[in-house]
Amino acid sequence: MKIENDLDDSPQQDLWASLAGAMAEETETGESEVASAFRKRSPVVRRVGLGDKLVAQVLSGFLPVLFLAFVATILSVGSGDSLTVAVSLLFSMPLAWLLAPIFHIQRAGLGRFVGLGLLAAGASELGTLIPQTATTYFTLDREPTRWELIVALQTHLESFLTWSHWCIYGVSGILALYVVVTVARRFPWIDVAISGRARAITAWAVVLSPALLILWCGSVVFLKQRATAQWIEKYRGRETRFSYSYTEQTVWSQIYQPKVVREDNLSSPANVGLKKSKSVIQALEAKTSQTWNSPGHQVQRGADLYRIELVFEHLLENSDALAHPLETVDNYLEFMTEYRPPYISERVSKVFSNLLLPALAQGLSVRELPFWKSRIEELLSQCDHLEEDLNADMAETFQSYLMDEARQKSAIFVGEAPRPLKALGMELPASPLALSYYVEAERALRPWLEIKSQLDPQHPERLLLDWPAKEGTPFRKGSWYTARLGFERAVQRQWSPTLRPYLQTAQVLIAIRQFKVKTDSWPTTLEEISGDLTFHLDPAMFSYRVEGKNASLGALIPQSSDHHQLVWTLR
Amino acid sequence: MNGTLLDKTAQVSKESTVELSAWVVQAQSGDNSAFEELVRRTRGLVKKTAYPLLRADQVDDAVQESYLVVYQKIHHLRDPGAFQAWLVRIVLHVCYAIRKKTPLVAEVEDLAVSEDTTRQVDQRLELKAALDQLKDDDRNILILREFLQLSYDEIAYALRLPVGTVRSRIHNGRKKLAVILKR
Repeated sequence: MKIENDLDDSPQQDLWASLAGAMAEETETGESEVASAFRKRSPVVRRVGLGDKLVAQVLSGFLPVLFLAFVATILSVGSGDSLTVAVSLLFSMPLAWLLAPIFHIQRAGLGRFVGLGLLAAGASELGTLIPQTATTYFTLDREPTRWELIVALQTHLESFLTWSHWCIYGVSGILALYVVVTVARRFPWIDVAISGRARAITAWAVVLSPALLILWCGSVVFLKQRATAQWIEKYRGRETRFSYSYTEQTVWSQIYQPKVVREDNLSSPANVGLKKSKSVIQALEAKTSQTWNSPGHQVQRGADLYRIELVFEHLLENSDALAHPLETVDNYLEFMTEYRPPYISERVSKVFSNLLLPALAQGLSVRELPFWKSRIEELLSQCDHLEEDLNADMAETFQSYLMDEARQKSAIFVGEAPRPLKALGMELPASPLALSYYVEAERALRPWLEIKSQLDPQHPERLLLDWPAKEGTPFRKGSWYTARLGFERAVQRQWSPTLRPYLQTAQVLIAIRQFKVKTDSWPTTLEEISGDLTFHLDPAMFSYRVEGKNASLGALIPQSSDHHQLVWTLR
Repeated sequence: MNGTLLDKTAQVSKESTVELSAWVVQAQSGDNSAFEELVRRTRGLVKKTAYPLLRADQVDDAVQESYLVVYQKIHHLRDPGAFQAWLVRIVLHVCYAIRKKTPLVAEVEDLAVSEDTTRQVDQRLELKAALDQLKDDDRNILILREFLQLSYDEIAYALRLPVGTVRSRIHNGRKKLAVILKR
């Protein structure tokens, strides 16, 4: 033992000196008497008995912590199955050994036994996660998922952070301290070693783990939440506004081509291009019509849509060879409005300008007009609904959209949305579940948003095509797929403004022709047919005049780069 | 500080720890002559520990009782180098057991009626009376530090306290003792 002689000056030095002097006078007796009394004593049996060992364990801090750990274990998993309880109680032993240095008799005090005793109980409650996880592994023969572990961690934390448990731990700590102090007084000769620094540091780390966990969750979740909010805010004003590029449509073929070639069961687009005989085209027309209109026909996104689009393209480009070109047009329009493929193309313009509108102007019989009148009204109505849907989408805030994405994606990883930590009757938003949620949400959202920011430039399809080749992990491919769906959904916003002018023009043409059938004369102005239209007539869009026996209708059709004035003559 | 016994005790405190440890180890192995040597070397310390706590006529009993306990329990001592502090702890335990049976008041009364009116006895009575008014913890720590002049480490071991607590308790004990003495 280290001997110090740094005696500081005592204010009562004289008094102590006089006490020593008096002692010398009053108690001077023969020293040899005491010493010699032991000379003839028979040796005692010097053996450390079980009682002594127990006392030593009390004073070393092991038994007090074991007691607290037992109480904590019973409170934590007491309602569980007997195997879990037994394993948890067994687990308390090494935990108590680990924490004992903190509760060594030389450090015993009320604050330590109640304050640190509480934390030790918390560590024990959290520690029961280990045997519980092990029991789950062996009884269910599977590893608990990360989400299950986090749920269990939060449940144990919440179990610990209740007033009832704290009261029990407080009383238990006082009881343990009383026992320790009493034992120490009654057994002064029991000597217990103080553990080394490493073990003491480990004990402190373990006993502080519940507090550190709560602090860590509180600070990290708070920072994470704020960082995620700032990060999302950065993207808020940058919601992608796709300006669809007609020139890039071939890229879609590159995106979908491999799958189309591999899975084509309708017809191979590559082969279709080579077979331009009238019979082959009409056979394909019949097959397409049957397939497309057959009940239960399922169209998948992506490759299916592109394949059908290619078939229609082939058919419509060879419309002269078709047996029923307007039926094919009708099928094509239905296909487009129902599935709204992302690769809206110049074909829409060709279908209306070259096939449907000329036919409505002069090629259709009177009997066919009512069918096309209702068909065009239906398509216009679909356009309106589509526009409402998309406007509703756009009305959502970007953040809520993202958080929906986050929830959806987090559900894949973590199962459910975060719930706050219930602690001492309060609800703290900072919880292990929240932390896990934000980590997973950001991990899921970040690649998606990065792609989203890349989609801002002129040719998003090119980015979509190039990106997966650079990042080939399954997760990144999944994100790419999500991004593509988001892109496709955004592209759908082009549908209504693209189709609507053609459909409105078609409706005007039908109304003029029906007016002629009814009155045997052309309307003098478009105002006369406005009652038959389902939209408000825009004078800037349409020009109309009657020239002798004929009438001509001009329509200003907006396209990607400019506006085209198309004119039809009605005879 | 002066006084014959005090000097002797100080000498014991400064005794080579290694030398004392050797006797302890032998005593732990059952060597009675080694134990006898230990008694001879530490008897002053034991007596000095007991004296402020007991009447003069009880001190020898306390010494005897303490060594009996030490003789029976010496194998519990893990660190022979800490023998003195361990011994002091046992002596304190024995002294408080005696105090519990026979309160110290009797001695004060006896001395009060005696005719010894020297200044030294007055001071002793004054200090013993003041110590009696302190709590056990404060009294013990002052005796170990001021009277036995043990080091902080030894006191910490003897009283099973952290060294930091020893320092603060000594400081507080001195202040409390001064307050009592001023009354």
